[in-house]
Amino acid sequence: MSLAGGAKHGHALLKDIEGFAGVRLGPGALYGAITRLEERGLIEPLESDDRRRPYQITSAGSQALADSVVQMRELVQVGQARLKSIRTATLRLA
Amino acid sequence: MQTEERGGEDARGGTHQRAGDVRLRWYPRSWRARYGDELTALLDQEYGARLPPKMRLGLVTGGLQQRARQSGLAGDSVPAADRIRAGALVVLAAWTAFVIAGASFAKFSEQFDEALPHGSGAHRVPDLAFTVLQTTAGVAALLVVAGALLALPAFVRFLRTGGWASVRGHFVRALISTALVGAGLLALSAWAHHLTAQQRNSGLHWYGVLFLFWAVLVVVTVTLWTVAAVATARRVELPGAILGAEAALAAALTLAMVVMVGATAVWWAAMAKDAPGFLNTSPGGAPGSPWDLWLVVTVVLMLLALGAAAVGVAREVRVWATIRSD
Repeated sequence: MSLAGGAKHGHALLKDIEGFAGVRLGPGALYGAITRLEERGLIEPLESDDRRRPYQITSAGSQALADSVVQMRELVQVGQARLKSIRTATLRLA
Repeated sequence: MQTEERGGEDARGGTHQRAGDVRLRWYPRSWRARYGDELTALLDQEYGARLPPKMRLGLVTGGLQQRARQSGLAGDSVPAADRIRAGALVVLAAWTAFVIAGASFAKFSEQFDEALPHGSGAHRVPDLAFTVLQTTAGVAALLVVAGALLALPAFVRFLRTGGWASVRGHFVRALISTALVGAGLLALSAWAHHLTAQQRNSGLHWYGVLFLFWAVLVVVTVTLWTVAAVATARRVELPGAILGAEAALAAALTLAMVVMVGATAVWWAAMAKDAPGFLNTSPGGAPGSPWDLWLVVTVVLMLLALGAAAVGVAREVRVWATIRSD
């Protein structure tokens, strides 16, 4: 999701993920994820002059992200609907 | 560690190639070749020379995960055939540990029959359990030999295409260790020839120490041969049918381990009932207790080996299931 906002190298990814998700990933975990995503063709490396190689999302990656967002939206909708029904039932009891 | 400290001189953004090599040593070489430089740059930028213990642990687990993925033990990044092969090789490695535990049990249970009361039918259960154990061990050994024979033509092809160079080191180490075991056996036999039975059986301290050292060397040798076999099997191209047969043999071997663990448990329970004194005779035995330390350690090793084998078979089954569903 972080790379959907533009190409980033490892350090920028860590900062970005911490910013929007509140999670501080370790370098080992980050590069485990980068390895898996690259193997699946969801992200790709860009040329770099220094050792900090940036990555960008691929079109397959964008599609996979879009699918995940749709799934998450459905989950959120179900969650909201059920919370609403709990609130309604609580109000009725009160 | 030493290179890491040295790397601290230019803590932020400097060249930490050597330090990175140390911190990333748990990762496979090919992974380091691809990602090592950039991960090292990230570590330098984030932590400089002082990597927190939690992050250090993260690199260890990350490295081991990558090794598991590359070997086919985890994930789906390698072809299905490699994943099945990885499962079968885990069973082979587990079998080695089981053989070591079995040798320990064989030594522990020497002459157990003599400890049982005569003419009361007390021999029946432990004798039957021991016979089942021995027979199953023989069958399991045949399964391993069958697996080796099935892979033999592919192994010969591997050697003919210049594969020997990639595994030579493993075999040389195993052969040297085997030669040392042979030499140690000759020396021990020559010495034992001049000793009484009482001196041989823990009566003579230095003989016991040398025997223990030799036993450890046997374990190391068996392990080195297994490492050589696994290293070779990972490089040999096995046809699909042979790979399927190897996977089936691995599953059968695991089943044999289940039977042997069960037979050992029955034998132990029967001995605890009818000849509890026998279970206190080892150096790890406590008077009046059936929980002899030697036997406990042996059975725990058997169970660990069985658990590892079960993981290997589960891996095979999951991959087969995926292939069939595709």
